[in-house]
Amino acid sequence: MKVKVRFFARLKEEVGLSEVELELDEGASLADVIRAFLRERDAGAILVAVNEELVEASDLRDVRLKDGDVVDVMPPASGG
Amino acid sequence: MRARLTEKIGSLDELVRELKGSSEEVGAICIFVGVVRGISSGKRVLRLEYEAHEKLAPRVLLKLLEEAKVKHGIIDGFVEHKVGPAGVGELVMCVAVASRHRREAFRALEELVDAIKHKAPIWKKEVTEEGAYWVEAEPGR
Repeated sequence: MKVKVRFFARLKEEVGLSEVELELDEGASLADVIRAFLRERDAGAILVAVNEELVEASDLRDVRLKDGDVVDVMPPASGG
Repeated sequence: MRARLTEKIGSLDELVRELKGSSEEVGAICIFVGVVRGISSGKRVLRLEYEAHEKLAPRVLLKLLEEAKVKHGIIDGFVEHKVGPAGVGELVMCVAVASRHRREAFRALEELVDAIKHKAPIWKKEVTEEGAYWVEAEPGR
């Protein structure tokens, strides 16, 4: 299955990509995708959305991705 | 309730007029306005650069306003947040709440501003004379 991953702000610069399309095995989890790009330390404090719906940090392991999903990987908020 | 991203923060007079008009019960309006400071941690700031998740951020801002309404009983609320480059002295965030009395307006406003800084998918890069840095949110800042 194919999944698009988009990066924002600082993570876009650190990963060096604004988006990438991945070919994944069926049943891959959101946590698998995040681990592929981020160190453990960074992975604990990010914002993640699937198809533009935010996912709670505690649910990252449980969310199984589907073909065509768009995953947004974002640094912690720093607006204002 | 209204929330949006913008390249320029709108007129505060118009905002007050709009909030006053939301109900005849409105007796207090509190507004917070964030401004780009010229000196930050001893460094001269040249500009800030704001990036946001254009679809998600307005939805999160609106959800935070709805939560403030339920928790504090405010009558109406408004959030406007800058995206793109912002020069020193420029307004970058405007948060306003209207309520029956001042107490709930003060409480709601402070919580709302904190929540926006920590939950809305909006990020700022500080460009100073010594370099450019992505800012990380810290409590009370």
